[in-house]
Amino acid sequence: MTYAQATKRLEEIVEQVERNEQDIDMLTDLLKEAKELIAFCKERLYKVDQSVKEILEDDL
Amino acid sequence: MTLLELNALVREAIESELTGTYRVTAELSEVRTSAKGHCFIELIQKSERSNAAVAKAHGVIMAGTFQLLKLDFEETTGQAFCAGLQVLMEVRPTFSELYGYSLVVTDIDPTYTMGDMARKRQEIIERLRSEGVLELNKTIPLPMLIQNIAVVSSPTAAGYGDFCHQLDGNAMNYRFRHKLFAATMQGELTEPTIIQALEAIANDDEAWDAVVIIRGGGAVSDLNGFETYNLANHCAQFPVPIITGIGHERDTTVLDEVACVSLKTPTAVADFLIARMDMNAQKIQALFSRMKDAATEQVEQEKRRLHTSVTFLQQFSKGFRQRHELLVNNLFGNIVRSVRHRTEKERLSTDYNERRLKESVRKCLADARQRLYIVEQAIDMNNPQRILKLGYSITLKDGKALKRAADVKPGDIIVTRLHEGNIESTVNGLDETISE
Repeated sequence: MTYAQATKRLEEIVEQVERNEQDIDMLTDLLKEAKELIAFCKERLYKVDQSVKEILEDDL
Repeated sequence: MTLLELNALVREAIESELTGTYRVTAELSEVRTSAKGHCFIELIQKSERSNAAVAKAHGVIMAGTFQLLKLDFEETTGQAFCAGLQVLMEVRPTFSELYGYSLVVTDIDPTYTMGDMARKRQEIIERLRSEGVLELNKTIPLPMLIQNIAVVSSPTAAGYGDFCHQLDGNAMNYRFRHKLFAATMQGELTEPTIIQALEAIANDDEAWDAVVIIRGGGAVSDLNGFETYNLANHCAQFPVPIITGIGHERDTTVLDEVACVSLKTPTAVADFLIARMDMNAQKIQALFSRMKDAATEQVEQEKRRLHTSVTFLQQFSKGFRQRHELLVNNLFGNIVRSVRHRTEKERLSTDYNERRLKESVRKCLADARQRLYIVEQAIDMNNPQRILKLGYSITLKDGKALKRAADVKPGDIIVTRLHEGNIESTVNGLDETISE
């Protein structure tokens, strides 16, 4: 999964929850999925951040 | 009678008959000075037609007289007292039993400068000049290196031997190729044999750099063969440069006048050829040195130019590198800033979504709870136990709640459920009025 796909799916989930359309039984599953997506996105951002820092330390 | 007695008679006759001095014109064919300063001369008279000698006499000028006469002669005529001059002399004929006939010179008329040989020579020269050939051989450029030499000489002459020895044994070891074209170098055969030799040289297939005409010394009168128009004309028009070395230092001939180069002796000719070779070798050496210097200078110049170019390129390259490093650094900085900006934006977006999600979930759950509560409340409100507790009761017929009186008839058994316990009753009558 790419970062873009992850954020798109997260947006969908947020909108779905905001509309309050989902079955309450599904809420847990959605929440779980959203949590995983957030973790994935944060991990990606952290990695990008780290890479930038490493590149700057190596070359500049 | 002895020879001495006869000679004594001759001497006496001369002394008695020829008592005074005589003014005599003759050509000086030889002039020699002894160690004691006496001057011995040969006088000659030639036939005007054949050029052959018709009279000769020895002469002597005593040292004391000679000093004065020579000085006077040379000052007046501007030329050395030497062979070849036609002179007017005052002489006293003498005779010695031992040495024979000779003339004692008491005076010389220096105004009578031109000797017969010199006048003839001048005539030949003037004729050649008027014919436009006098300087022809002199105008031929002498090759820089004279290596192929046609030699006109007598094969037995000491002068030829000296020439070969000098040339071949040169100290610098220069190589000369010389070939002898034999000729008679004295007397009346001189002219025809030299011309023959020149013709042989001209017809020779080999290329000659120069023709050398040489001969050893001898009495001046022996050089008469060289003083002819025909020979001088041949030599003047000869297509190869001629170098002469005829006779000793005190002799010159008309051939010397027309030759490209005129030198005194065969040895002098050999020295000239060696010196010319040497001079040109030095020229070549000098040219080589100049060329080497020029080449070295050019290489140095190119090195300097290259060095300048390299320095320029290095500086240019350094400047170029610095500018581009700055540019790249700026670009990189921009990229880094963009990346950070983007990641920050994404982080904010993710955080926002997370917050939104949490909020939405909380709201969802709250809504659900609220709905549940309402439902619960509704359910609680409608709970039969709660209503029974308030004093209300439910009437059942056959286990079903009765909602209308019409659903029963008298006699039916009905059960009344209270908050606590049931009452079983029988229907007696009906009132179907609906109470408010």
